Amino acid sequence: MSLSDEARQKIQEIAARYPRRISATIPALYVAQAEYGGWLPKEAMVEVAEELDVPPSHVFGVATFYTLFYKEPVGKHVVQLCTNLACMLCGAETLQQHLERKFNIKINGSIRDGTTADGTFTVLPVECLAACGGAPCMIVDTEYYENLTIEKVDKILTQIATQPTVFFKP
Amino acid sequence: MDLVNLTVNGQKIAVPRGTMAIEAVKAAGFDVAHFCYHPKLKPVGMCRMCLAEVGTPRLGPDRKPVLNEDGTPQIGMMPQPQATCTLPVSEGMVILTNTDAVKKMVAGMVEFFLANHPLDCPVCDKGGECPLQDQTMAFGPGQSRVGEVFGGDVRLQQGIWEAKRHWEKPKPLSELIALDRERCIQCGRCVRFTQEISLDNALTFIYRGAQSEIDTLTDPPVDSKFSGNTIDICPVGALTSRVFRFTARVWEVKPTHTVCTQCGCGCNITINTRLDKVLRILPRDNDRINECWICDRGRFNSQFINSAARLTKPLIKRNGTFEAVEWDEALAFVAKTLTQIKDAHGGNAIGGLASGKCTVEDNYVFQKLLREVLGSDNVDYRPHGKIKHRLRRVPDFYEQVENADVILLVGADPLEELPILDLRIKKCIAQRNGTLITVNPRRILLDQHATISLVHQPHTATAVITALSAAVNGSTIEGLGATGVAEDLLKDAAQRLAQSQRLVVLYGEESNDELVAALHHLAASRDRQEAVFGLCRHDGNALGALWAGAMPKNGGLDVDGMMRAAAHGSLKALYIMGQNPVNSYPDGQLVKEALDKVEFLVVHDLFLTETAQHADVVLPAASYAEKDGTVLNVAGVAQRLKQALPPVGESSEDWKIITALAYFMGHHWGYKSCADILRELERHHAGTSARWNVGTLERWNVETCQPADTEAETYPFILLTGAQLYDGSVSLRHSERLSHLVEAPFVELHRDDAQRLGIARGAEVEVTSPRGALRLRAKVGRKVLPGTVFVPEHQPGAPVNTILDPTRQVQRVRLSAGRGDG
Repeated sequence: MSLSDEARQKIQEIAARYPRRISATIPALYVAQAEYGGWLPKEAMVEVAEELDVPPSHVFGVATFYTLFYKEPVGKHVVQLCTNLACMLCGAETLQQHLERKFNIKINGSIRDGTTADGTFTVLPVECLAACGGAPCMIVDTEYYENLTIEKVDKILTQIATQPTVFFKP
Repeated sequence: MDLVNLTVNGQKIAVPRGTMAIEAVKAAGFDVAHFCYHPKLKPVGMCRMCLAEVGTPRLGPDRKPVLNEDGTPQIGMMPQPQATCTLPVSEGMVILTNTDAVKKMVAGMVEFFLANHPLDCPVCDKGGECPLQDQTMAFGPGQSRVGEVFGGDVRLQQGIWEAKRHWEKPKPLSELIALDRERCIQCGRCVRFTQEISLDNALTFIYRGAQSEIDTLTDPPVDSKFSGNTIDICPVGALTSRVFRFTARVWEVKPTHTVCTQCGCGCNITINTRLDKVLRILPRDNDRINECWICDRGRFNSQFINSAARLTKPLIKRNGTFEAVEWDEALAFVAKTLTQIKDAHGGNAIGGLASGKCTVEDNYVFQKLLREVLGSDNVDYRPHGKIKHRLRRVPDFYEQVENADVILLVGADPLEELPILDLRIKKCIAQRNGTLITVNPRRILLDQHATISLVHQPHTATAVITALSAAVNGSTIEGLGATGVAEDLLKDAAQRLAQSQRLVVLYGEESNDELVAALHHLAASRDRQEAVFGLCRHDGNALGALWAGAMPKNGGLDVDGMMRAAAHGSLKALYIMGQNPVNSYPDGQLVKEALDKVEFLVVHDLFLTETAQHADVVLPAASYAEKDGTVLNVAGVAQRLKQALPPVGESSEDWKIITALAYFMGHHWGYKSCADILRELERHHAGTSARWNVGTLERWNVETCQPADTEAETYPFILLTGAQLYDGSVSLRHSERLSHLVEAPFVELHRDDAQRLGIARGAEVEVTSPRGALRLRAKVGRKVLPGTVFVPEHQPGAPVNTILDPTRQVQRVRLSAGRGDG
């Protein structure tokens, strides 16, 4: 698999927005991640480097530094469940245990442990989503959900399961 | 010079403005603990070890220093300790590095480093030469409060103090380098080396925080010709050499300070030996030549010296097979046969090929043997006659390159030919803001860093330079059409050349006289004629061989003349020292005819090379690590080789072999050492110009052999050849640890041509010339122009000289995909 012509075109358009092409590394990686089904194999990083004409090692460093670039295959939808202080006080731990039981997964930060058997969801714990006012909260793909309860989470995930993945928020 | 006065631990010192405080402290004679700081790299302040208390004179409201009662300026100490590596000095600064507070801070930092660093010094390759080990002893605390000292405590093992970071170890970064991530302290020296010095970005930090590690995404792993330097500058045992590791403890090895002769750079090296085996080669600091770097070939290509395939006894061919004999017998046989030939056909029926791989002394006695003993003037050190060297000494050559504002590089690829020069050019670009203009018939890797690359059609370099001169002088540009160079690019280059203050022109050794004249003309129009340098790539001591006089004078034959005369039958005997013309001579057909036809062939070599196999007598010679002597580098700077180990078996230094042979022929020269020979050579040159007349050599007769038009139809591609650092040379063949770096024989062609001919990347291609055909792997890209193909010289098993026809100026070939359909 390799980047489609449209994706390459898009990376070129993004790169043209910046005075230096290297500045387009992160947005270009998002394009590549969407293209590769939500994660970034090393080939994708090399292709982005070629497309931007920057050293592959630079792209490798950036892609691994940021946790929102996934280096392993993820489920169709990525759920980021906040497990920081405010959310924990408001019940995030119950949600975590609920999801672990419901999907028979472990929410420990490992993509493999956090992905459901059918590959629909990958649930990852995150430190803070900067939405403490709506604790407990989570992000599914690109959408925020706040003031969660077990019922609410079940409903949201059931709805989303059949919908296509949203990689970019317009 | 603009000096700044400051006080370090009470001692007054003046240093140039802009100096970092760490250098001032060192200059004052005090030790500073540091890991990330390296004098050749930009300061980053990552390790926080070089802390000091720093103060500056306090200024009053009138911006004048506030004085104490005794008239001394009042010092305001900064509230926090400062990292001296990122702090430029200022007037009146006070630096304290030996206060109790500083000692406590540094000890604390060491404790932090050791929180995760394993205490495995007894099994670590770096042990004994490890800055972390040394600095822990010097500055560190005796005990640590974190990590595995609490290993027995169950509660702590489950908590955040649970022992140290553990990684699988070691992780191979490449075939040559192993990474131990547990030992890595993330100072970033290796990463910064690849970003600032070698500019190949081979290494990077990946992940973050406690997960940070060093890795590479290049293919092959750590795609750098300078990767070994990261091992040297690693201040801990994280990066170690996979060739050297676990072969010896560093305090057991014997260091010999000598010079690398694998190319013409003249890098200063230290050879580490133990029990007469070469264990490793390290760079030796010399800011005038290699600074503190060497290339991977110079560093790792050492196994051949102790290879089991080395010749250890003289060989005489009897009835088609070689027999090992004693030196006396071999020398007597050679002496007798050469005397017979000389008596029967005259001295000029004997020819000698000296070598730029051997020392000045070897070459001097070689030409003396030919001229005095055998009475022949047929002597040449060059692999072939297209090479033109001019002897000149430029001690500040590398400094000139580094400080140039414009470098014009013509017909050369320093990365493959002279790697350390490549590093200096990169330093000029990256650190001195220099401009690089390249003029080559194909793209080279250095073009990534070039300001302007003028890629021209083959054999039109002179036209490009002439047009550049015209543009610099403001006259009309002519003859640019055939070169394929865009006029606006050329004008841009000309403008930069016209404005340059410190121009350096570098050209390849195979540049013809017209091109060199054009370059001098171009430089002269700028009043900087002295900055034009010819490069020599083939051999490490080419200029030394020239200086020693291993060139024909008085109508003697050069290498081409000797090959032709031998093939013709008029040259009866050939004496070859340290050369392998079967591989390196451009006309592979002629050289085979010549070697088969000569009545008597003597070869000195380390191995039974392709050439040696044709010989009647093979004499085992010593490698550069096994002899004393003098070598001249690319800038004509003379340096000493020192013997690191005795020659293996019964092999011997070339000058000793020749001196002994002369003795067998009745000439008692009485040299006891290289010094005797060098003194004689210097006497010989005294009072005369040390330059031998090189200008009168016969050139390739190019005018009479222009390719006919019909040829272009049958053979549509122009073939370019060039050097490769990791080629099929004999020494690399016998260094197994480097064999993976030698690429499978390939031909490089342009994408469009490949598409048109249906040749896929990596496919097998037959490259056919009127002389023959080679099967090579296709490399498809945009480095060569459409209509040209590039095949490196000396590829293992596919010598391009078998299909070259040097009687033609333009080499033409055709390509066909797949297997042998012709």
